[in-house]
Amino acid sequence: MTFAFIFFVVANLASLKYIPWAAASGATGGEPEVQIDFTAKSWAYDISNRQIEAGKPVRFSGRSSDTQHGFAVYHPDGRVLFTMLMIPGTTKPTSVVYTFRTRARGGALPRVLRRRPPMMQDELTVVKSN
Amino acid sequence: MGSFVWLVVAGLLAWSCRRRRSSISARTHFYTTLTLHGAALTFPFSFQLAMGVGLHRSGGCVGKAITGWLPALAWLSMNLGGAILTVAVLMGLKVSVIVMFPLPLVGAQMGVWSMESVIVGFTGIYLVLACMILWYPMLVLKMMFVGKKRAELILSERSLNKPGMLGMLLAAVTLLLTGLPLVVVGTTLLLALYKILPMSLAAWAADPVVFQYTFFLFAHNLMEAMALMVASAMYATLPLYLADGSRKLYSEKLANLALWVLLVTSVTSGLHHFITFYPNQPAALSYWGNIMSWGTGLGAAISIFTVLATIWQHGLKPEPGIVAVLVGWALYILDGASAMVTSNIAWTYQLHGTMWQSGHFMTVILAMSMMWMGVLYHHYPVLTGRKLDPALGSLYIKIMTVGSFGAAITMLAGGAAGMPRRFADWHPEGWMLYGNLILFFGLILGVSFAVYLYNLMKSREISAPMGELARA
Repeated sequence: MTFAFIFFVVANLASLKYIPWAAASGATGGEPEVQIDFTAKSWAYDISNRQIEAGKPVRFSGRSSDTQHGFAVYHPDGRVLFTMLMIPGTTKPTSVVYTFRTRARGGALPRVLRRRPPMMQDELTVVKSN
Repeated sequence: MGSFVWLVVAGLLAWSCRRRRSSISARTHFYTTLTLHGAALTFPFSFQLAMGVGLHRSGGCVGKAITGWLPALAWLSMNLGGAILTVAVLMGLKVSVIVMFPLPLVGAQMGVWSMESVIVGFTGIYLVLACMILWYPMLVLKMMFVGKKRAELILSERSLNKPGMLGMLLAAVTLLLTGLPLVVVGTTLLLALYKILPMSLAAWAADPVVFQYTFFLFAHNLMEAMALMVASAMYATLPLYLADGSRKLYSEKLANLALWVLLVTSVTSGLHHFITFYPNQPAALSYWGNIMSWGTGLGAAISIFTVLATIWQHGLKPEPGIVAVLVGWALYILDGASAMVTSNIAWTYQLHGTMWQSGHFMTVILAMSMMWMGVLYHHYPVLTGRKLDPALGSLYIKIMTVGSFGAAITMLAGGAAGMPRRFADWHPEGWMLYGNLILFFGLILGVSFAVYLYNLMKSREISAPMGELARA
């Protein structure tokens, strides 16, 4: 029991820095956030911007106009970078702040934005910052 | 036995689901069969199995009969509700087992399905919920506190402070209390759909955030209540199979503590369903949901210790019934680990909406069902006066172990790799390996259930007098 409790505490404390809102508070470092707004509906969505500069914090703010929607951003290798849940009728949008990185050797690396159902897919392009 | 009818239906739907993916036009039916498969397994199979076996077991502990209008109403409400919901889905209603309100209304407004199918569907869901929130808990409370004990009905007397009974009571109270807000919301909505109440008076109940939080307050606690019921059943059954004949748990106090920890921590752990709704769900509530979710793991850790210590101290007679219960328990522990992962805030941002969630949900339902099937195996001779074949019982366990763990691990692995849930286009997205493995292990699971049902059908009359069975 003691071991289980210690494991639980350590594992959850170690995960704190990976929580998006916690990571965002340290990641911006005074840099202004780039805003990407989107509105989800059945079965379409609007998104304000598809090009992102690497290394700059991006705030994704999403709303739903009709029903519960999910939103996920994937890495091209299939990994989920983050997901979001939108329920209609809220005063604030659901939001996540994320900073995209380019590969170590530089160059743009497109990220795939995907919403369910899968016919609603899009691509974000991450470019090197100037 | 009604639960097994729905198990067969769910199995055929799973097969149909897989076939439905083979052409573009048929993929639209994928969501229909997936909806029915999930709903059939969760409510009229799993919950009804737990209800039926659990009530028989409890009745034999307190000496009360399960007869009269209330058990009949519970049975009718569950099965009629399931049938009506099936009709609604066949009429075109395509929602996941968590309903995703207000999707049913939005789909009707957009002409994807008819408003009639929404009304029929809500009626079916309401009857199913009424069984779980009202009739079944009332039945348990009535059985435990009302009426005279009949000595001829007692198989193995237990008081309410015994772990084998405490969980049944805690589960009934949990279902009733956490489900009452949903009864209020659901009744208001249903009356509005049937135009008995003006929609303007029902608008508060139709607010998506109100509905979602009310729904998940009950739905999450439904899972925890089912866990309390089955943990209690295990605490009652395990001692009967101890090798030294002591019929004692390692510690009844620890067993009871595990049940109480599970109850207290689970009531608000359902906030983890809304972690990715930030900032609409404040961070503080998400942290609370994370902590409480891991708290239920502490309850499980105490249970794991109690079970292992009991077996270590007293030895085990590995009869098929108790082995099936323990394999189900082991699957429940695997699922618990998957639940710990996905209820952590950082991890849920990457797993919510993936096959990990589907795998977690399927695994917990499957694990609890397997445990109840083990308890049923144990009780079958008393219930029917017939004897099961231990060779078939062992065969069922071997096949079921491979199928259940394989399916669970495949779905969790798919989710970890990013495979979305409730999603038909596996091939172009590169998920066919996981899809094929889910089919493979699902078929194995189906074979195991066929062996189990064959064993029930082929059971032979027991020559020993009935009284000796209860003391065996």
